[in-house]
Amino acid sequence: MNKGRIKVALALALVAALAFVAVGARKTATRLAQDAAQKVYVAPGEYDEFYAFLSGGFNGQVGVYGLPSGRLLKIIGVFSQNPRNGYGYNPETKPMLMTSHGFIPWDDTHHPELSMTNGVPDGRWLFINANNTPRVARIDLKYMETSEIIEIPNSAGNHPSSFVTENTEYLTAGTRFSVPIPQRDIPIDQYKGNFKGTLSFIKIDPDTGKMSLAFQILVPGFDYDLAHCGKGPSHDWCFFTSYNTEEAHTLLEINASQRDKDFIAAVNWKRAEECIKEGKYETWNTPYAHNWYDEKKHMAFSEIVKEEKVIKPDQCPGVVYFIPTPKSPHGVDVSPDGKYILGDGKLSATMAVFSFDKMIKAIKEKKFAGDAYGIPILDFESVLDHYVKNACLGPLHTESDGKGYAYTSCFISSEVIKWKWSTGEIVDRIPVYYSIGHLMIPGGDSAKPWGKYLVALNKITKDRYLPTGPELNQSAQLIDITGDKMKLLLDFPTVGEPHYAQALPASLIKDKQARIYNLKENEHPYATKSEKQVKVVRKGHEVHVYMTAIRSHFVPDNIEGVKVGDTVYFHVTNLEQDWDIPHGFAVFGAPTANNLIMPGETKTLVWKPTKPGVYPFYCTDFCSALHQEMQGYVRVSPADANPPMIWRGGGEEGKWIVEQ
Amino acid sequence: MRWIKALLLAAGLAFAIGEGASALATQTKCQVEAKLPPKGLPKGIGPYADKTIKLDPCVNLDLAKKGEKLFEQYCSACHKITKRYVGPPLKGVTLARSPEWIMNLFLNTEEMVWNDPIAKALLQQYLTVMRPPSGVPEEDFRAIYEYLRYIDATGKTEVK
Repeated sequence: MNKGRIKVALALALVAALAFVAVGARKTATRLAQDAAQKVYVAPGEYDEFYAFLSGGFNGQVGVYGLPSGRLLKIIGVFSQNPRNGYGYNPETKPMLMTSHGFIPWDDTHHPELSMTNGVPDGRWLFINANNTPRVARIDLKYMETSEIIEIPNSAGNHPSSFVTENTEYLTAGTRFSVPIPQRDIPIDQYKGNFKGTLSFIKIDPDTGKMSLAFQILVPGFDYDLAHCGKGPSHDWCFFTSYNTEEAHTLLEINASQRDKDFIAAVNWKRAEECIKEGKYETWNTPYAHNWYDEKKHMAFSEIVKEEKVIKPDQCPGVVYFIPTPKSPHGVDVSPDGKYILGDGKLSATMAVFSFDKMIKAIKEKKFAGDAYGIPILDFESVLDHYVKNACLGPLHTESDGKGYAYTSCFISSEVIKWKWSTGEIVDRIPVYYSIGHLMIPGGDSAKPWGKYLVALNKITKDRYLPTGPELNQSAQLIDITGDKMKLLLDFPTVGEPHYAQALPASLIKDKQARIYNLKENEHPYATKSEKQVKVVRKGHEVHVYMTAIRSHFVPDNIEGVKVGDTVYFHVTNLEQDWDIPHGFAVFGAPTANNLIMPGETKTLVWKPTKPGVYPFYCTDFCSALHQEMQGYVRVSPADANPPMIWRGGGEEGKWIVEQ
Repeated sequence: MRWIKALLLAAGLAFAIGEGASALATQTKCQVEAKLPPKGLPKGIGPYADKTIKLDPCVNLDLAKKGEKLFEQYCSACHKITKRYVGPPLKGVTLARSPEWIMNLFLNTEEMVWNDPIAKALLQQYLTVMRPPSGVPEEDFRAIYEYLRYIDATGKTEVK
């Protein structure tokens, strides 16, 4: 064999070997993909194992997803109008979006939180905050609709919200953007000392879920960012992170990143309760809105409250302490046993794990390192239990699997790290795509996590899906955490920025879901419970149409007698009493959204016609084979005309009832 | 599943006993004498497929009155008595169909409209699947049936 031949043979062998390696790698990748696909595959007609509730961020809503499939099941309108069903457009639900600043059709939702009993999600309610105009909402998990919204006075940027105590005694709210409290006109560069924050506690009625503002603690003008409440031994406490302890008012990017440590505010809410009992508070009168939905009347109500109890820490010693924590922390998380408190310092690669017992000891022994505006600062070393060293870049938020491990999201290095709560030892890392914010494990911030999956809630999407122009949906990733190594299973897009999320086993709430509104129990003042009760009533320039909808007709479907200058109220009751037969209602030219009316429900569309003519209305939700025929007309006559006031429908004809 | 069957059986028995008792009480004279359907009509598919409902020769007026109200609430948006509406006109229905078939249609609608030959043909004609309200107790359907019997006996739609 000559040298040339040997070279050729060697080269061929090398090519073959390389090809073999490549094919092998591809085979392995394919097998992994098949493995992952099987784990997230939910066969047609089958159900997901978990309900997940993802914040809709700047979309102002909550998205309900199934896990492990990542299928979007529903979008719940919360702080934003929902054109899909008329929420926030119709007079029944507009009061839900009232504030002390008037009607606001939008907000920015961040942190959903499930109600808990003994530190475990109980499937009753989901709470979520509005960051922009400070509010908190309660969603009823039987109807999966927003039941109540309460505004937070004396605050701005309601970010460390809405986190519950172990038995949902309270819900937190707080001030991310400190402001003059009470609000007043002062130059912005007089921030230091004049701008303040509040940490608010909302009482939850254990039977009805009804929210009321219990007390607010006035705190220095830092940026209070996130919160979590204690469990077990730390039951009486809630923890709030803060950044900008520098009290900068401009170019915060640099000016609020000067110090090595900021603070966790540890609030003893039991102590606050004592101070309220002992009268150690001030009554302030900043107005705030309180809105709730009455399920029987199918209608929301809004009231302005003008009284709140404000606790000043110097008048209630022991109510709040500051724990120094590295650096500009975002999340503050408590281990399932309630023994450890962690500040996720987003500008520090080393995370500090604090011990609750050590904190109590330091308080007792007065191991203070000075104070901030009279609030004691605990000595860092006395409270520190251990570090998580060289954790990652930009740690943001941590949840638990219930098996002793913590999982931290790392924004800058785009990864999730797994580590041991008790020692800080890092045992695994997995890259995520891209720039993860929060992460979520079902029950992962509770006393008993269902540690099967982890959802990475990523901020940046880029090339993960087919491109859709400059604006992209956000991206979530499902990770299997049952083994020693984390395994990426699935990407799925989410609507709006899912800052944070919650999940619970579907079995906890699936069978409690409402299917219809019982027509017999419908107490809407304009309900029409059978076609016999249909009528049209004129009261001056108001026209009330008591209308029914059933497959596939409206009664009435001809209305004559409306004049320009009238306000027409179409009160439509869906007479169906079987599951999933909604009817929609829309009127040509009406400057509002359609109403989607569930079986047994009544909703109103308000219309002020401006031009004479004949205007069609129709059912917007495909309801039957004769859905296309589900239509009608309303005739609008000039203001000075004298048209007959009649209606037709259901084979009948009627005359209007004229009142006054 | 077993307890559901037991419940259905119990309901069926109560039905039969009720019929028997009222038949005895009103043997002598009826306020309103019912018209009875011919024997041997199909019974349809459902809990009454293998049962026989003994019909009282008298219309139970209290029950029919209750049925009148329930009819307005649950049925009138889709059914008229003499005219076609969303569904077929109902005059004569208690003579054209067996009571078992009608109760099966109330209680087992989905299966009836897709598999029973008569209900299937009606669906092809009217093109809308009947949706009786969910969660209604069986005795309410029985009252509606009695109201329809009253209409067929008297030709009137208002029970007096």
